[in-house]
Amino acid sequence: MVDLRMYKSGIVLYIEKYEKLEDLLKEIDEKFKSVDHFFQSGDKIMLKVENYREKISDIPKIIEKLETFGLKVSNILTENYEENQTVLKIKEKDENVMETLVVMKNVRSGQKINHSGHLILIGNVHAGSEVIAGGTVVIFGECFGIVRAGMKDDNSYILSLSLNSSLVQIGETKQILNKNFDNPVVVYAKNGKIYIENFKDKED
Amino acid sequence: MGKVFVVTSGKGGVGKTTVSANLGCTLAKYGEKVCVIDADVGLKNLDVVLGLENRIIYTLIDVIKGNVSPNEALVRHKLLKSLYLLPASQIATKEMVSPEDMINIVNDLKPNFDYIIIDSPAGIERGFRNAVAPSDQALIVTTPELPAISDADRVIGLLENFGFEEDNILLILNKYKFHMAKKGEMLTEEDVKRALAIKLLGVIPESDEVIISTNKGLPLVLENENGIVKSFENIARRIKGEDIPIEQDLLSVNKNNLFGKFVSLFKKR
Repeated sequence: MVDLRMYKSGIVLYIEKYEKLEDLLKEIDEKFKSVDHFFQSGDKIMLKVENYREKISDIPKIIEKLETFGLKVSNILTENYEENQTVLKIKEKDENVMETLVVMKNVRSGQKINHSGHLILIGNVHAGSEVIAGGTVVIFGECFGIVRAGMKDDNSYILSLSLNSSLVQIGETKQILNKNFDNPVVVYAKNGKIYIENFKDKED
Repeated sequence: MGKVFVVTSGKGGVGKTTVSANLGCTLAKYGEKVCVIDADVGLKNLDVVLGLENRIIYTLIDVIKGNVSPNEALVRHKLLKSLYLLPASQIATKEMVSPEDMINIVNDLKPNFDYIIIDSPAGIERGFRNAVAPSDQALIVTTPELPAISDADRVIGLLENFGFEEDNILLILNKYKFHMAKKGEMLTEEDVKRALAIKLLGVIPESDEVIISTNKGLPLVLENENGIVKSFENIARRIKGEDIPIEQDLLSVNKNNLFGKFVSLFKKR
């Protein structure tokens, strides 16, 4: 009735046909007690329920049950692969909270930093490198490489101690830069245009 | 156990082979036991620069095929008895060598030497990966020109991806023209250091003598006392752990320029 399966993208709690919700919850309870210490509090797990359309009202209760073990349900999968992909995408959009990654290194030519949330970079971004972030990018260093911020949120900023990049992008808006900025700058997008201002101007 | 260095650059023609040969000779001159390995299979040069091309019996490929052991394939230098060369084969290709082969060879040689210097080929493909795989430290050779610096940056990035720490990557600035940098016509060593954000191991000035010595097959450091020899000595001493400021390299350039001018004056008369 209940099975834990390991996939490339994570662990899936697979629930086959069942009659009563109480029985299922009991079964889940036993299953997780048998694999005690395998999961840690805060671990993410995916849920797959057979014929989930019929049992859709039970799903919140199953999730509630899993949360008592300290587990978080990251995705609910269906039988259909394509449907799963759309579910995953919707799930991604729903995640309003963007995690911040702090990177302490020089990003060198040919290297790429890719992060879905905000990014704080302590180091230089050299020419020929690329920084991509879902949200705001803050660079404590000199920036010569390509920066793409706000892949998920158009209202994101790029802040850098100097900006000598050839290309900056916020959301869908791209801009080729012909000017070098040697002072701290703020880059933001408004009405499909990129604006670059000195950091001090912004403060006033 | 010997320390293993790879001399690499990404861009060709910046002086990897010359630096490898002269650095090997300088370290050997100080009494260290040194092995230089030519990793440029198919385009070997290091033996020519060292003047050992007509002494080669076995090459790297023979070692990999298992015909001889790495120690048997070594060629001893004519003048410096503590300098050895593991030559590359001219008829083989870089694909015939794998990074694992290089690691095995270097591991065999390590106990017998104080320093092992691997001369990497240009580029970032198989040959580069072969040269980097067994190395503990990397010496990046660059010239004060933008293409060389951007390639050096790419190589440093690749080395980081291979697991090198930034502290184990050192920069050698080659073909430095003091008079041009002074006038602002060329990047200074400070500019290069800032652009690459890596520790500078030494500065080697541009010198005509290098061309002469390379054609003779006699590394410069063996026949000369002044000129860029001082820079190589400083670099070798820094590798050995001495703390010598970079300004020392530039000082010698300045003096030698003046000295060189005097010499050329007399020569003209």
